[in-house]
Amino acid sequence: MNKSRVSAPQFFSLLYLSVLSSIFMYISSPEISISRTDSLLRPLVFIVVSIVAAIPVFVLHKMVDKEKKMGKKAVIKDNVFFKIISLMYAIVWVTGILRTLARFDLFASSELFPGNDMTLFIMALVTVCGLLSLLGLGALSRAAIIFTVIVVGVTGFVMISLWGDVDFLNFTPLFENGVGSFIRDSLLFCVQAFEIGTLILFLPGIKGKVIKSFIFWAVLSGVTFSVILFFTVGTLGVFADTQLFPTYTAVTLAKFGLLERMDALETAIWILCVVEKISLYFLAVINCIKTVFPKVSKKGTCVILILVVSIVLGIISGDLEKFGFVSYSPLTIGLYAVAVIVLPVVLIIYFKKVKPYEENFENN
Amino acid sequence: MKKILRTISLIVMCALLMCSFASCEKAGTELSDLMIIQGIGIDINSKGFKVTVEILNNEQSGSPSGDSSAENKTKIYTATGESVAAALMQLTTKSGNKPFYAQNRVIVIGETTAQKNLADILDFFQRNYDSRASQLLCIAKGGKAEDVIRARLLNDTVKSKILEKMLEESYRQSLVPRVRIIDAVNAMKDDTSFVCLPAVKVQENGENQDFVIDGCALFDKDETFTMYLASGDAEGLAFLRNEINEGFLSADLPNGNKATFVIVKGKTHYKISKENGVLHYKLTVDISCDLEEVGGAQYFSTDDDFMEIIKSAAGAAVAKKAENAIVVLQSEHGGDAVRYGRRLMLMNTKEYELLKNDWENAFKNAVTSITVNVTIRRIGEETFHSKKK
Repeated sequence: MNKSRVSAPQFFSLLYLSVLSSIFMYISSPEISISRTDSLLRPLVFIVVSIVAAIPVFVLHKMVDKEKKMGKKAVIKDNVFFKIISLMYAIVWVTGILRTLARFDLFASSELFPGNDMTLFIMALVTVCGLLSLLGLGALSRAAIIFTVIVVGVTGFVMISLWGDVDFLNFTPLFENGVGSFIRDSLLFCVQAFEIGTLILFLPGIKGKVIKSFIFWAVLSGVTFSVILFFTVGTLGVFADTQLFPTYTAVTLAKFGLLERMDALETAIWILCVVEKISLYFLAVINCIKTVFPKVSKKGTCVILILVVSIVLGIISGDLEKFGFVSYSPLTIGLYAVAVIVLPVVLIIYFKKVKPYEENFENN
Repeated sequence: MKKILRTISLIVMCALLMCSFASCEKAGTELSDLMIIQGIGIDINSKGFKVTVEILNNEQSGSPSGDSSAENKTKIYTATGESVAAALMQLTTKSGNKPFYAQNRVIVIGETTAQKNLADILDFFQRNYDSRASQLLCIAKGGKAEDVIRARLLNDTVKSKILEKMLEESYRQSLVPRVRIIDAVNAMKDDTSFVCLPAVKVQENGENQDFVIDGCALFDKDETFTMYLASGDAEGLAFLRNEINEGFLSADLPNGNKATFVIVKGKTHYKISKENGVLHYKLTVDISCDLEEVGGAQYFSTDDDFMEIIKSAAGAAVAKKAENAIVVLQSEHGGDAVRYGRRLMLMNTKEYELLKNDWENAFKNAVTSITVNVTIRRIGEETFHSKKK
C-alpha cells in the first residue's frame, strides 16, 4: 500500500477535522464578538473565501499536472529557491502547531483540569502526534474518515440536545455594527483555517475529484460552523463573550434524558480533532524539512520537532501574554496569506517563467 | 525492532494521555479530599461577604455499607472575606479540603446582599473555571441566605438539591422565571432588561422548616434589588415573557363557581407598533389546557355553551394575571423584566435605537393589550351529559 496516496474524501476528512478543532477551541476576543447573530453568517463568507483563496494552489497543481501528463516532471531538488519556499512553509506549519497546542494547553489547563500544570500532558500529546505523523498521510487520512463519522454524529447529537436551551432573544439584529465590521470579523474568522495551505504539499498524492471534494469540504465546514455557532449564540447570548471557550461552555449545558455532562464526550471528540490537526502539521513540516535537508531522516526531523515544540510550549504555557502573541490576529492573517496565497502565487510565477521541467523517464 | 519500539512508544503515550483523563476533574486528588459544594449562600456582614456552603459529606455518601444513619449527608460551613472569592477560599482553612464548584446547584443571595451590585457578586462564578454557567440563582426573601442553606428540612437530605428541584419545578409550572448565571448575565448586559430572580422563603413547619418559592425579586439597571413581585404577578410574568411551560390555572365562572385547568402548552406572540408616540405591545397568548375540575357544570344547557364559558373564563384569568404583572412592572420601582426592549430591538431596530437611552420612560408608558386564545384539549371523564344531582 502506498502510504502517501489517499483518496480525496479521505484527505478532506482530515482537513475537515482539522478546521473543526478551530471552532471548538474558538477563543472569545474583544476584537470579534461571538455572541452576535452575524457570527452565524461568517461561515458563509468562510466558504467563499476558502474557495477563492485556494485558486492559486489548484492553478499551480493543474500547471504541474499538465506537464506531468506530457511526460515531464518538475525538478525541485538541490534548488535554493525551493529550499527557501519549503523553509517558509515549515515555519508556517510549526507556528500552526504551536498555535494549536498553545490553545489546547489553555483549554486543558483552564477547562479540563483547572489549576493544573499540563506540560507533561501536552508533551505526551506532541509525542503521540509526532509518532502518528510518521505513519504517513494514508494512515492519518484513513483514520480521519472514521473519526469524521464519529465527530459529526456526536457533535450533531450534542447540538440537538441543546435545542431546549436556545432562547431566540439571545440573537441580535443582523449587521448591528455595520457591514464593514461584519466583513472584517468574517475575514478574521476565515484566516483561522490556514491548513488549506497544506493542499499544495499533498495534492499530488490525492486520487479522485479534488476540486469537487474541496468545494464539498468548504461547504460542509461552513455549515458545521454555522450550526455550532447557532447553538452557541442561541444558548449563551452575550454571556458567550464573557467565556474563554464559548463553544465548550455551550456544550456544558447539553443534556438528553438521563445523559448529562456531555462536555466529557465532546471533549474527547475535540482531542481527536486536535490530534489529527497536529499530526497533519507535523507531516507537512517533516516533508518541507526533507526538501531543505534531504539527508536528514524523517524520524530525526520528527524527534527534533517534538523537542522544539515541547520546549517552546513549556515557555508559552505559564504566561498569558506569550500565549497572546501566538494567537495574535495579525500573525494569523500573515500565516494564512503566506501559506494559502503568497507562496502558491510565487510558485506559479516561478513555474511560468523558469519552467523547471525535465523529461520524466520513469513514465516513458 | 524499530516498528515494535514505535508501537510501544505510541501505546505508552496513549496510556499516559488516558491516565491524565481518568483522574476525575482534579488530577491526583482523592474524591474524599474535595469539598463538593452543593449550594452557596451569600450574605454581607461588617467584615465583607459571608458565604455559607452546603457540601457533600463524602465519607458518609461514599460509605460502602450505604449506612445513612451514622452522619448527615451534608455538612455546612461558613466563612467570611472581603470578596466572594476570598470568603470561599477561606473555606479551605475550615474544612481542610479544596472547594469544588462544578457540582454546585444553587446560589442563594441574601436580601441585604442584593442591595450590592449583582454583577460583582456573580463575577467569581463567571470567572471560575469549575463553576458551571447553569447554576440557578435565587434570593432569600426577607432573610439571610444562610438561613436558607441551614434550613432544618424534615428529611436528612441535600437541601440544595431540594431547592434546585423546587426552582426547576416552579419554572416548569410557569410560576417563576428560571434564572441561571447565563440568564442573569445576559439580562445585566442588556441595555434595557431588568434581572428578575425567584424569591425563596424559609417557613416554620412544626419542629422543622420548609422552603417556599414566593414570587420574585426585581433588580434595576444598577443591578441592585429594587422590589418584590408577588406570586400572582410572577405567574403573569410567564405569559408576558413567553415562558409558559405547564401549570395550573384557576378561573372564575359566571355562575360563581371555579374551574381549574392544567396548562399543557402555551406561546405568546408579540406585535409592536407605535401610536401617537407611545409603544403598543399587542400580545396574543395561545394556551392549550385540560379541564381538571369545574363547579356547577350541571347548570349549563349545552356542550357548546359549556365550552365557550370555560374557555372565556380561562382566557380572562390569563389576561388578568398578565395585566396585573405589567401594571406592577410599570409602577415606580418596576422595570423591564419582560424584556420588551430586547423584543423591540429584534423587531424594530431603528425604533429601539431611538428609545434605548430613555427606555425606562418608554417602557413605563408602553401600552400592553393582551388577547388570549384558549384551546380546551380534554375535559376529563365526566362530560356535560352525565349530569350531576
